[in-house]
Amino acid sequence: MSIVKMKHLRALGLREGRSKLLRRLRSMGCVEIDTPDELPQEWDFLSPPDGDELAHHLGEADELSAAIGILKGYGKEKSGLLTPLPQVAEETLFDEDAYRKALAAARQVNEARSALNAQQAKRSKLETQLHALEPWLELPVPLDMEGTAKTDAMFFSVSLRLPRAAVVERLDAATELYDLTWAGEDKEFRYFLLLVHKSAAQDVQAALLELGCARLNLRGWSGTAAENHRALKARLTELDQEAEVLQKTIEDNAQRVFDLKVALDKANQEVGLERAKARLLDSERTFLLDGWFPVEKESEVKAVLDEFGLAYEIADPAEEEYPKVPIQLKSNKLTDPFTVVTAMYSMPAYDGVDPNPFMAPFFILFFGFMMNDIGYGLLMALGTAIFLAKAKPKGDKGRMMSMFFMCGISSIFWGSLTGSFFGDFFPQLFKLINPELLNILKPPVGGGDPTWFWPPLFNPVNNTIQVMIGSMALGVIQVFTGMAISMVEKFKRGEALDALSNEVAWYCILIGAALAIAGPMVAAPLGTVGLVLLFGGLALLLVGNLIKSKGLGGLVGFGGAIYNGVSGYFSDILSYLRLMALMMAGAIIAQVFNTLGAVFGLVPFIIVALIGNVLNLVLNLLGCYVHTLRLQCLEFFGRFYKDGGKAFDPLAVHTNYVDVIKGGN
Amino acid sequence: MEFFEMFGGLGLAFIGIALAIVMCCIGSAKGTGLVGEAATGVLSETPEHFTKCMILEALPGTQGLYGIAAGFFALFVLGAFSGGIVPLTLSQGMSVLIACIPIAFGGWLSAKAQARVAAASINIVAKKPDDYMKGVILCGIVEFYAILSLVGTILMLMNAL
Repeated sequence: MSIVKMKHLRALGLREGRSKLLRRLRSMGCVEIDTPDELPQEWDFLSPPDGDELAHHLGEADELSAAIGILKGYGKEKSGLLTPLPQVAEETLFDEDAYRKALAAARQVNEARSALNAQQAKRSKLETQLHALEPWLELPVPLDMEGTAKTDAMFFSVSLRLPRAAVVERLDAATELYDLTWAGEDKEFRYFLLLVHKSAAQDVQAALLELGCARLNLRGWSGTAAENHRALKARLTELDQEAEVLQKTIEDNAQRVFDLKVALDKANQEVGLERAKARLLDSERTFLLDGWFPVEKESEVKAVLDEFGLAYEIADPAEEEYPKVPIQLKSNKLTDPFTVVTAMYSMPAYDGVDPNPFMAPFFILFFGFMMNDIGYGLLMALGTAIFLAKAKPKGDKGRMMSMFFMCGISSIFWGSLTGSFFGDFFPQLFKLINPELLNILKPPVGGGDPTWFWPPLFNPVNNTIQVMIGSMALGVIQVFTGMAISMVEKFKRGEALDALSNEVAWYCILIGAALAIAGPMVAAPLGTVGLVLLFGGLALLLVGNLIKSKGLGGLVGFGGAIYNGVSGYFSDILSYLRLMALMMAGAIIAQVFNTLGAVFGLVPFIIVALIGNVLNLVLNLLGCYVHTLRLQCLEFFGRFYKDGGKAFDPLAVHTNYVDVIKGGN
Repeated sequence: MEFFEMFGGLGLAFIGIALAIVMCCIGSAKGTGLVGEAATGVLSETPEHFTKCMILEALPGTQGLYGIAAGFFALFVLGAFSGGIVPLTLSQGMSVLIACIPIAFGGWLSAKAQARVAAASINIVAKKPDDYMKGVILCGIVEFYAILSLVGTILMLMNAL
């Protein structure tokens, strides 16, 4: 419920025991290693360690993840959305022997895959060659035949569109000292062998070229086409057999994909460790470690440092160090999920406020207000509860789910006030089954058609004005809460004047103005009280500005403060109208789907209503999340939040594929 | 006046309803098309991001839905689903027509604007797939103006007759 106090650690140790120390710290998971800065000049000889080990582990991680990617296609492992991560003891994760074996398997898989790829290239080359040989299969002469003492042998191709007679005619016209043998055809060309007397060779060639024939060079071959064809076929069969062996190698390893995942997780831990190591500074025999840890871990950290014989200094951060202090939020079950939202915006500054406990109730309330549907709320709450119970998600995913669970409950609450279940599902359903059933349902308190099993308090579509006022009232409450937090913080820091001339003054002005306008409608003296408050507030604001800068500057500051304040509060509070807009839009779209379905009878109604409402739920989930988020981040945080911290990121075990059970290391 | 009388009240109302539906559908069609084109580039390299791309592509599609919802609501107000449409006076017809304007234009243009954000967010899917929800959130901001247009139209339709 607050920002965890941190201690700054600076330690010197011998390089010999360093890896073991870092492993121990990683297992504890409570020390963030930072790059030391502002070291005295005489420490200049220290330099960061080389990154060879890091590159080595990164390389292994790449190999493992490539192999896992390949094995994914062989799908031996079944894992559903609701399957929790398998649990693995810390010793198992870091088992060096198993890691080496998994790495060897990964290399085997990767090699088999690249061999298969190379084979594929060879295969397509062979297939092209086979294709090229096909027209010549019937020809009994070797393809590298050049001719005889008196004749030249030439191989030609000619378009199928040109009739054979045309070729023969042209040859006859050129010479009679030739012999033509037709070979096969393919889709575009027919092929032939021409034996021609050397004396006429040139003329014949020119004539044929003119006709559109192309001379082919088959010198790369030796022997007849049929012989070559057989040899190529045999080679292809060999390749098939080799491929089978390679495929089998990959398939055999497919059942080991889990081992590979564990190994990848280990490799990533080593990468993390090396990255942390890169932030240390080395001399020839020693290293310097700079870091942060939460105050409550002090004794544990000290014990380890003593055990490894480090010389160290532990200090509270000085105020000028605050921007460097990593931020950890101390949360309970209710507020922890909202760390996702805070982290998405920005972590608080070290001397700021943990916004989660203040934001959580508003977030839940606003989300439910906009969603306001029992059916949607139930779907959200049940869906997230089942996911949380079965898949046991950790980290941000788990936080998101818990957050949506709470928002679902809130949607059920607001839905029960507006009597909305998938919009007006029940009234429409009862109308279709038997209109007498409608008597079970009760109309809203303010009157109207019966909608729900108990009388709803209001209806977002019919009671627009009330919903609008309600939205802005919620806005006023949140903005005032933000101001209160800011005021308390200012008093704590001893900035009483600032608090008085800002938050206190504006409380008086805003409440005073509201009372002065609306008060007389209730009781006449309230108007006077309002006016007194309003002018008191204005006076505070003026005095505050005059103290800050005397004379004209103070007056200008006062004018500016009035303008900024009025426009700022006005636009901030109007911004909460989005609560109304989303509440109405969701309700209307649900009603439209239900009415549309009801036109065509009972069965189409159920189908259309279900599909339409699921679609509306998805739309609303996005809309409500985005706009609740916006109200927190802009309107609420803007009033008090001091951001700019960076999240505490200790050296720890972070796994993707397994859940690590803590044990000794 | 004679010009409008040629249409009759009901004719004017139907022009409004048609505008609400067709403008929104044009916007959504253009929008989803634009995002779809951008998505194919990523999918040709990394087909496993299909779901993320599809979610982004579907976002500018909601305006079409709002258009049909508004049109449907207008028909509902006119009594199409409760005993048949009654004849309208010119001013009533004109009210329905004007009431349909917010969603017709708000839906059309917000779909196009949202599509540009969604298409640009495809880059997030390509480079940092884990952060693609942030792109969806950026699109959600644009979506709000389609929602406001819809709410505006519905509020006006409720008071049109």
